[in-house]
Amino acid sequence: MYRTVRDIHLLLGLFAWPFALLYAISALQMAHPEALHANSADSTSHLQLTAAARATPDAARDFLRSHGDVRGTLTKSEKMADTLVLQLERPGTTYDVTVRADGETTIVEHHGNTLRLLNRLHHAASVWSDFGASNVWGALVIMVSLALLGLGVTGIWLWFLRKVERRAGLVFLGVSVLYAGGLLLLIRLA
Amino acid sequence: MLRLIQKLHVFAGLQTCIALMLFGVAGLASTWQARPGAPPGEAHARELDFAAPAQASDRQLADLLYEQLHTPLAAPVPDFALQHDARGQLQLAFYTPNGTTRVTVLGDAQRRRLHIEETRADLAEFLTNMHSITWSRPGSGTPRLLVLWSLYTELSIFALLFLSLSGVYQWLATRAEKRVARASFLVGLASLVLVYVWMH
Repeated sequence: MYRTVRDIHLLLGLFAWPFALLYAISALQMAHPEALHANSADSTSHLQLTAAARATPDAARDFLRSHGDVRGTLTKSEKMADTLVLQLERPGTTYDVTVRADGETTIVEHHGNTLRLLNRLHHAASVWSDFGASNVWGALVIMVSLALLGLGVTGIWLWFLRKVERRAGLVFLGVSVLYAGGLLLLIRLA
Repeated sequence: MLRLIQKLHVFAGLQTCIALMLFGVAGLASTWQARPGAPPGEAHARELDFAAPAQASDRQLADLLYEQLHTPLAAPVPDFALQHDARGQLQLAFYTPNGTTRVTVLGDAQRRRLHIEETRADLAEFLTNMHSITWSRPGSGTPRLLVLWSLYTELSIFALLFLSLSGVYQWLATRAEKRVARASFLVGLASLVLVYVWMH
């Protein structure tokens, strides 16, 4: 039994460890933004949209994806007078697109640095996006979440089966359950 | 060295197991909440009179609202979050792990009323909110319970870093030749690198 649980713990941990690092680093960035800066650099480009591509926001999005090196999910579309304003996003990068009535299109790309990308990946969790990479990421988030739960259960189980460091371990586990569990309860009931 | 790392790995895991499992639950809950057609939380609206000095600034009104509404676990609203709707009415919101209270100050300086919408977070949303609480210094205006919780999550972030690195170290030091473990290591790393490159 011990060997099986230990192998499961090992396999889950080895699969999840790079993601755990990513989440830990991005969490530190969010907790200490004054020390770890998540910046983005802007660049502007222009292209001409065809009449068919200007018909609907989805058509414009598809045209931009195939001709404008724009990758991401359409998150905003707004018709203002004779101008169409779109926003597309993928984790770490946002595109603000302005399409004029004559098809002249301006694309402002806000390209995040590595910390910004990690920050946005930390927040991204959807398998229903129209951007393939986001869906793959969402599926990985589910797998890593299950792995974390599995690591927690098998970790406690292993400690219990090993029968060493029982007393010290019990203190650490007890403090964790009382402190964190107690706070969760108090905050929920507040 | 290995023995010490093993011991610390066990203790760090036991000390932060609640947070680490909460992170797992939050990942699943966030994915579920992002599904198409997910219903927004049900808001309960009410209106009540609000007495404030006629010449009060937005900042003063926000501070008065904070004192009078007594929303449990809410922090004072920062300046950048004071907004106005199309009619110029002050709008602000108190966010807590248990939900959101949105307030619109109606009427004119002579007679003000409040429109309040309260949305209670369900359990999944509550746990997601709890996992996203980051470090707050005591005395920063954050309620004491949340400061205590933020201390635990801060500790857990460092524990997660340590557990990841010490876990890989233990594998390399004791069972690096295990094929299925190598495969698991490579699948995890390759998936992350591929998605990272695809995104970037």
